[in-house]
Amino acid sequence: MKQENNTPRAETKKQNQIKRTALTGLLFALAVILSLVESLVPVPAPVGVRLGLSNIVVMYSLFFLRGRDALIIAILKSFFVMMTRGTVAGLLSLSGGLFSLGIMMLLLFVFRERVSFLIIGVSGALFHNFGQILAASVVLGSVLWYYLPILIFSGLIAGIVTSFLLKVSIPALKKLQLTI
Amino acid sequence: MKYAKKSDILVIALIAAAGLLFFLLYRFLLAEKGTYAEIYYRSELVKRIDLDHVRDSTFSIPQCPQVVFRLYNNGGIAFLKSDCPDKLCINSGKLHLSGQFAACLPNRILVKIVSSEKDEPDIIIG
Repeated sequence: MKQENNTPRAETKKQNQIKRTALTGLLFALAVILSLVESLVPVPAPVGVRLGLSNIVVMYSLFFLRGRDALIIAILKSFFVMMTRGTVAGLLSLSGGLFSLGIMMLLLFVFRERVSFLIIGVSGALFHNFGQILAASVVLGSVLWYYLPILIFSGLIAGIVTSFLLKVSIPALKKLQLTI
Repeated sequence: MKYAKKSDILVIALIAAAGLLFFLLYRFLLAEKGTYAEIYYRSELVKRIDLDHVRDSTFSIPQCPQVVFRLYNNGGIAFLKSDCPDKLCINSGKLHLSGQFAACLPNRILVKIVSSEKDEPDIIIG
């Protein structure tokens, strides 16, 4: 063990770092569980439309931790998908996750407090879909325009549902004093 | 930060309108019956089937024997069997209208219905 700088400030900083690492791990586990639970529930739609419940976790980390932590969770989740469901699924997940996080971070950066949970959730879900269709188009070598209306409506519904779920779970999460 | 604002309704209405517009465009183009089914494997067209002259049968493409397609008498095609985990291709059901497609991403197969006149892109949006 190397000698640590024991000033109170450095201690707090280190403690926060540990707390943040543990919290990121917890949230990642939660994201994985949510997407697992979701994959067990059959969707009546013929195409791969899903709610994207794990996006709740990414949104939470974006609001209450740092953008970096949300990015780590999104990337880790894609790796998990890659390991469990194959390279193509992982690639789609990564593309969707990065697009989704990208638009949410952009909106938060530009509008700050003026943007609502609802809009963040909806645009996140929409761009998750766009990212996925983009990756799917690259994999298949054919642009899947016909998928667009389905993706817009499913993204809209998914965004409304996930942002609402985040909103109702925030008081419970606050009680746990997870934020740093 | 608030959960929702009044102006959000406008944004959501705009997104829904865009979705509806694309849907109508899609529906409008779908109105014609497709004549050919094109099967792409790894982005390459490997088979083109004249749907006007098919009988109930099953087949697979040599590049990917684990995927079985089914043809219908009245001019339709569907994925019948696949070794992929999610079976989205099979769930896509029977395709018979121009513009419909189904894909099996794990096997990198795309089935697309096209109408006879056009070999060009069917539609370019945005």
